[in-house]
Order: sequence, then structure tokens, then C-alpha cells
Amino acid sequence: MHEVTPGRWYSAVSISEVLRYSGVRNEENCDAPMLSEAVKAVEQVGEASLPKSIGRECTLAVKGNICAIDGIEIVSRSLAEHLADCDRALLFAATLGSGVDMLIGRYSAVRMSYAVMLQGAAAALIELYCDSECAALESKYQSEGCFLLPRFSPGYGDFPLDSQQILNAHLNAYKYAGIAVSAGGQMTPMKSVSAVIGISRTRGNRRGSCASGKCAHCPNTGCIFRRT
Amino acid sequence: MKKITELLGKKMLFFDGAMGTMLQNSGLKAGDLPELLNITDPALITSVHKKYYDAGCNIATVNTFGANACKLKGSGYSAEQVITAAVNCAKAAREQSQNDDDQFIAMDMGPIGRLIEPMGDLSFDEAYDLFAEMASCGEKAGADLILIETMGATYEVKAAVLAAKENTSLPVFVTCAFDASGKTFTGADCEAVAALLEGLRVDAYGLNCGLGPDELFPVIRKFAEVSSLPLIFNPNAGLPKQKDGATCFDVDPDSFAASMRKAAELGLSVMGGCCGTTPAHMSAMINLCRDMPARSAADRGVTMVSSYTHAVRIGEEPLIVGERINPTGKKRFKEALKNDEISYILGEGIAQQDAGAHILDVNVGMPGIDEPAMLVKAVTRLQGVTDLPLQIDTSNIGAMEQALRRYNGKPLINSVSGKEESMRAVFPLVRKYGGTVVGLALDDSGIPSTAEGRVAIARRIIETAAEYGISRKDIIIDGLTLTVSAEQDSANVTLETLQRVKKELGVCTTLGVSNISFGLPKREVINSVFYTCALNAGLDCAIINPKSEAMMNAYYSYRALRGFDPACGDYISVYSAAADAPAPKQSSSMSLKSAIIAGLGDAAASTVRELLQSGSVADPMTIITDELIPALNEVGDGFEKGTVFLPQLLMSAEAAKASFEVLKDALAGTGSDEKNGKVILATVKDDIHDIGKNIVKVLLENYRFDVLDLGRDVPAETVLENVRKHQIRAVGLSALMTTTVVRMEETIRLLRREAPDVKIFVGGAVLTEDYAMQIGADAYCRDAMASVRYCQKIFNAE
Repeated sequence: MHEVTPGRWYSAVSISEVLRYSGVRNEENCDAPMLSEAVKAVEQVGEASLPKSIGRECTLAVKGNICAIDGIEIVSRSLAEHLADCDRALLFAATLGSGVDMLIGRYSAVRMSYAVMLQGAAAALIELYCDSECAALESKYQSEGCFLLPRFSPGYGDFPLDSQQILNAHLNAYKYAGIAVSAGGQMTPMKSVSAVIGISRTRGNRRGSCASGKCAHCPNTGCIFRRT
Repeated sequence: MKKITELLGKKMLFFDGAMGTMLQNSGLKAGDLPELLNITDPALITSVHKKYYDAGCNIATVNTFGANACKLKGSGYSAEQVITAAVNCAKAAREQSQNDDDQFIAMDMGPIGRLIEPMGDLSFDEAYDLFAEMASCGEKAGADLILIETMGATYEVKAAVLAAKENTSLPVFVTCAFDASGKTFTGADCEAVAALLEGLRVDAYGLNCGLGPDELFPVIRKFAEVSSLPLIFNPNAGLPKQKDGATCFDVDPDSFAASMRKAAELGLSVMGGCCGTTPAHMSAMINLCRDMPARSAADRGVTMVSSYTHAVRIGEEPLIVGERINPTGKKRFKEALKNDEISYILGEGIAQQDAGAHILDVNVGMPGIDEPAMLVKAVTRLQGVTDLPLQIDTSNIGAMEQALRRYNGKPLINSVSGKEESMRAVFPLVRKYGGTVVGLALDDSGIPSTAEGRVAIARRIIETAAEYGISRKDIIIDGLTLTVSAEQDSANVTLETLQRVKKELGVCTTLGVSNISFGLPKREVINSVFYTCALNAGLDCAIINPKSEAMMNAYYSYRALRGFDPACGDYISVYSAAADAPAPKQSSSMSLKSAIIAGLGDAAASTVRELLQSGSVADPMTIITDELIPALNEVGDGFEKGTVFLPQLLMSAEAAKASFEVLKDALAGTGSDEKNGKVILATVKDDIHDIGKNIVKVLLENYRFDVLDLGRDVPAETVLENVRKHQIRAVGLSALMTTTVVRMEETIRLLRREAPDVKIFVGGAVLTEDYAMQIGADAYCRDAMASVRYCQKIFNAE
């Protein structure tokens, strides 16, 4: 059986996605033991997770390259372009929790081939979790006649990575979700995401939404992980 | 004025409600540091405290939740300034308050906001220093107690409690934040938190924040069941909701009070509120709960140890303490210790957990090594890869103290004996850091030859422990296993000691079971029977090898027979799986090369074993040249062409490694086991993403390079120091993000200046060939195989 146990929060994950994140570029080249390792990895990561998310609606003013989110100014042309036409923004952060980091660390010490598979499973599951949390937010805003744009994270385009610290502090994400930012500006637990989500009254010509837009908006069109 | 500890448990005491909510209602913007208002608007802070005192609260929590040097950096104020001002506000409020009930001031310490290693990048000592500064400033300013609150990470709790207790004489209260599943965000359950905090001997503990009183009711109920100490409950006013851009909470004062009254019936000692609660909530709660009986400290007598996630109760069913992390009689383990090969030790730990151990013994004592440093390293690294509680096993008191300090939980401590000197050295450590300690039934006169004598020593150990304030629940007695071949009656004496310790002293027991068979052939046979006898005599914690099939057969059978395994579920699951498993692939049907290419580690290792045993191979080196190397080359070429993928490449690498392990002994002394050269690998300073570097390490080791792995977040100076110390010719650096590539560049610059001959190859998600050249690297390696090829080129090892 190469299927994830039904009825879990992570059951809907795509095994192809897990394999792709693990460095396997097409599923056809996988034998049965590898597929079963991928499923096992999903189950283990899913059970080691304590997923949490936090969202906060903020005021937004975009002027030139500057986005003022609740008055906090972020200089980024990419972010400003992404948020054009939006009158508000949601700050969003989510994590699978440190149990997943510990699990990957455990296998990195003894069986790297499986650690790589766990890493792939964790990458797929944090995306799945973010999509499902954003779908819930989206339905709330749709009832107000608004759209939520795809998640836009520090590091995309020229959105500075060190904004991670600012978003985290504004969300009080350590207190509410256990998400910290290291001295080097990296998020811990490692399988964590922070993002700005534009709230717009028009979908315009953008592709996707915060729950399903995947990475279609990313300008790096040559990326091997790009999802179409 | 009475001390709060004099009232604790005698009458219900009341904390205040939220400070942040009150300040936000007064115009504080999200993202602003609320603690600065202690200095810029003390009247506002004083007025909040006064409202709570007037509502009947006994304890004002001062506005210092985030007043640590880390969060205040760049604010223009020191922790001391902010904390002194905060305590002064509470003092002023106390003077102004009309309420004449007992009123106290709690110095508040919230989380630092960064995770401690290995989950994050903050060191335990840095966390300790930040809390120590806060705690001493709080006491100096006049606080009556310290409240450590909203904690989600048990390691941070431990740093904060030690800082408070070592730097002040104030009572220490601790509350952690739990979610509805009953876990903190790092995965600790109620019993794990209770075991840790009771071990550290805080004055009261419980939970705060997270959710409302109804959602947290099951969690506080669990605490009420397991706690031996006064209990605190400070929930939120329900769940946060966003309304018109502001955060608000959905439980009104009367509903909050009704829910808190229900919780108080479980047995609480201190009640209050967290986010969203106001003086109105506190007033309503106090009116309803003022006359409720307060819970006092009462030892529940449960023997337990814990890790950072869970507690293990001792004495309820048989437990296995894995004995394999111990150099005694193990050549390979000694070699690993000598070479600082921590990955070998981690592997032993993980394998024992997988085999069914509940606790892992950690002993790294060996002549010629720095035992305190090695024990701390082993303990901290093990708790990064396993969530089992550890048994810290050493006779070196300095090593014991350092390991206890860094252990994230309540450990088993091995051991104290009936010798006065031992008890004088060990009990103060147990008292300070917490732990359940193994008491060896021997004293200055040696090991008594009778059970009577051993029970007498055990009794003395328990009585002496009590003088140090250590409860009998925290002692487990080792009745001592002696070699049966040396002394005919020794097994009987040990078994009788077990029975009498349980019956006469009422404490739990442990034994190093395998000692029974020294000097005898087929040791497992007699070990497993003695183990069964000992279980029947009342053995709680067996120190055994969980990888031994005979011992695990005895364990599963005993549990099934004595009612510890409902419907024989575990027995059936272990043995029916074994019966149904297909026969292992016959290695003879497969060449070594094919086994490695297919990534079958067991098959590869057994093929090598067969080849060596059959004598068909004159020179073991030919196994490497004719089978191993061609297999690795085929897989490596496939990876480079894109027909073999990363997990497959690594599975083959692991199969090759398993073969090398078998060949190692055969090659020893022939000169053929020499490595191709020594390479340093490091993930640069500020970068904690090291999976890429770890992949490179596996592959380089496979191609016979000696890898010195410096880990992650490695300062440039550390790389240089090791390059010099080990005369390294090649250094591989990894960095994941553009921000940390800057650190990579700094490291390269330092190496160029101080060690110009060293070759530097780099890799990481954001790097490109051009970027690598731009920052001064010798080579850009796009993946692990490219790193192998580059090192082969440097060392002419192709």
C-alpha cells in the first residue's frame, strides 16, 4: 500500500510532491520500497507535528516601493507590486513545530536517505497545512466580497529576509505559535512559514490565491521545484 | 507582612489579569515594547496594578514579561532600568490601594523569544544569563516572588528556574502555555512539565495563556491529578478574535468566573487571568472563588523521570534501560570516544530506542578523555535525536553536575551508594537539579554478602536522602548483580534483596542484569533467565541490551504472562510481524555490487561477511576494488546523469558503509584501510540549515575521506582553528540563504588570509558558480557528488 492513512490532517498530501521535494523528479522512476518510504515519512512527520498558525489583519498603505503594514514600513518593489490594489493585508505565520526538526535530526544521524525523505515530507506538509489554514481565512473574506492573494514571504523577489523578524514580532508568533527567529534571521522551528497576504476587492490578473496559488507568482520561472 | 509561601496552600490566592490587554485598551500599538511604559508612563502602569489590587487580587505581576536584554536591545534602556521602574509602579499601586488583603509583587519573566539549541540557536548559558539578570534586578527592586510564565519550551523553563534560584532568594512560581491537546509548543505533556518543575523544587506551578478556562479544563484537571505541589491556573478570557482590526476575547467576566469556579473544585492554590482578562474578570472570579479551599503541597509518591516531551513512571510495569552507551568492554565504543565520534554514540541511542528501550543509560567514562565535557556533549546531543529520558551514569561528580544542569527533563542518576562520601556529594545535586537517583546497596565495607546487609544499606540511603529533602519516591535501589560463576549464591542474594526492598522499603528497584554472566559462555541464555527471575522478584528498571533478542523475548513474554500486555497486544504485534515477514533475501543470490546499487544495507553486509568467511577472497582489498568502488561509481554516475535520485544515491551510500564496517576489522593493520584525506565540513555562522552539508558528509565518507564535521552555525574562527589543528587541505562550507552567504564570504576571507593553502568548496541553495567565485571560493559544488569529485581531484584520489 502506498497510501497515507485516511482521516488525518495530512492525508491529502501528494506523494509526488513529497518525492519531488526529496530530489526525485519523476514518480515513475520510483520502485515500491521508495514509495512506501515516502508514505512512511509522511506519517511520521504528520504524527511528530504540532501544527500551529496565526493570522493578523493589518492596515496597508503602499506608496512607491514602500509598504506600510500597520504603520511598519517595508521597502520592497516586489512586495509593493504584489500588494497593489489591496486595501488591507493579513500577516500570516505557520509551523509544524520543533518535533519535526528533531525527527529529521534523528535520522540525519543514522540514515540520511530517510532523513532526505522526511525533509521532503515536511516541506510538502507545511505547504498543505498553510493551504488549509489559508482556505479557512479565504472563505471568511470571500463572504465580505474580498479575495486573499497568494502568500508572499520574505525572500521572494526583493522582499528582505530580515523582515522575518519584524513579521514575527508583530504577530507575537513566539508566544502564540512557538515560532522564533534566530540571530541569523532564520525561522525556528525550521519548517515554518511567514508571509504577507494581500486582501483585495479585485482578483485582477493575478494567478491563484493564498490557499492554492502555489508559487505561480514567483519570478524564478526556472526553479526545479516550481509548481504549475 | 507575611511571605507568600506562608499563605500558599492555606488560602486561595489570586493573581491579577492581563497587563497587555489593559495597555492595548489604553492605546499601546502591537509591536511596541510595553515594558518601556514603566519608564515613559509609570502612572498608566501604576493605575493598572491598582485596579487589580482593588479588585481583590493578591499578586501584581509587574510589567517585565519581555524585559530581557535581548528584547530591549536598541530600546535605549537596560533591563535594570526597566525592571526597577516596573517594580516601583507596583509598589506605588500597593500603597495607593484601599484593599487591605495580603498583597505581593511578582517579578515577571516571559520567554526570551528564541529557541534554545538544538531546537534553535540560543545557547542554554545565554538564556540563563538573560534570566539571571532579570531575576536579580527584580529582587533588588523589591519583588516578593518570581513568576516565570507563558513558557512553551521546557529547556527555557529550566534555564529560567536555575537563574531565579541561583541568583535570588525569592519563591519561584512557573506557568507554562498549553494547547487543547495538552502539550506545550515543543511537545511537552503535563507529566513532563510536572516532573521537571517538581525536580527543580519550584514553589508552585501550573498553566497560563493559550486558551480560555473551558478549553484548558482538561489540562488543569490532568495537572491536578499528577501534581504534588500548589497549582496555578491563569487562562485567557477565551479565544482571541479580530474585530475592526483589534484583538478581543470572547469570555465575559461572569462566564469566566463560573468556569474558574469549576476549575477551583479540582484543587487550585493560585488563580488569575492572562490575555483578555480585566479587573472585572478578576473581581467576578474572586467573588465566586474566595472561600474555595486552597490546594497545598502533598507528595503523590509517584516515581518518575522525564525527557523534554514525556515522563516515564517507574514501578507500574517493567521498564528497560538501554545499557549500550557505555565503553566498558566495547572496543568500537572506546575508539569512537577517543576520536570524538559523537555520531556513533547517537546511533547506539537511536538503535536502542527502536529496539524498545524506555530510558537510555549514558556512560562515557574512560581514561584519557575529558569526562565532564564528553558527558555534557553526549547528553545534549542525545536529547537532540531521542525523546527518551536519560540515565546519567558517572562516578565523576563534576561530570554529573554539568550533565544534570544541561539535561532537559528529570533524569535518572546512576548512582549514589551507602558510602558517606558518595551521599554527601550526590544528594545535594539531586536536591538542586532534580532526578531520581539509583542507590547502590554497598558502602565503605563493600558489598554485603547477604540480602539483610544490602537492605540495611538501602534503608540508610533512603533515610539520608530524606535529610536532604529528597523523597523516597526519588530513590530506586540497585540490589547489585554479581557474577554467578564466581559465587554460587549471588543470584539468590540479589533476588532476595529485590523482594525485600520492594516489600520492606516500598521503593522501586533497578539492576544491571548482564553482570550475572561474566565469564560464562552463551551469556544471553543465562542473562535472559536471570532477567525473568528478577522481574518476578520485583525488578522495575532492568539495565539490559534491548538489541538482544533473548532479553526482549523474556520481556515481551513476561509482560504477556503477568497481565501487563492487554490481550497480549504487544506480544502479538511483535511476534506475528516477525512470523509473517518474508525470509530475508539470500545474500548469496545477489552480488555485493548489486546489493549496493539496490541500496540493501543488510544484504550488502552479509555478502561481505560470507565472502570473508568462505575464504574465497585472498585480499579483502579486492572486495573494495572489484565490487564496492564500481558500485559506487555506477550509482554516482547515474546521479550525475539524472537517472538515480538523491534518496537512492544515499541508500547505496549507506549500503556501502555497512559493507565497510564489516571489512574494517579485516583491513585493520594492512594499511589498506587508510583514508583518502581529511576534509572539514561546516554550515556557516548564523545558518542552522545543515541537511545539505550532512548529505555531503555521507558521500565523502563513502569515498573514504576522513570528514571532520564541525556542525552548523560555525564561526569563521572555529573553522580556522580546526584547519590549523588538523592540518586540513580542504574545507567545504554550506549556506542556505543570501543573508548567510555573507558569513560564508567572511569565513573564506579569514581562511585566505590565515591559511592560504587550504582549498575551499562551497554549496547551498542560493549559490551559483558565479556567486561562489565572487565570494572567493575555489569551487562551487552543486550537489554532493560534485563535492566528492572535487575532493578526489584535490587529493588525487580518483
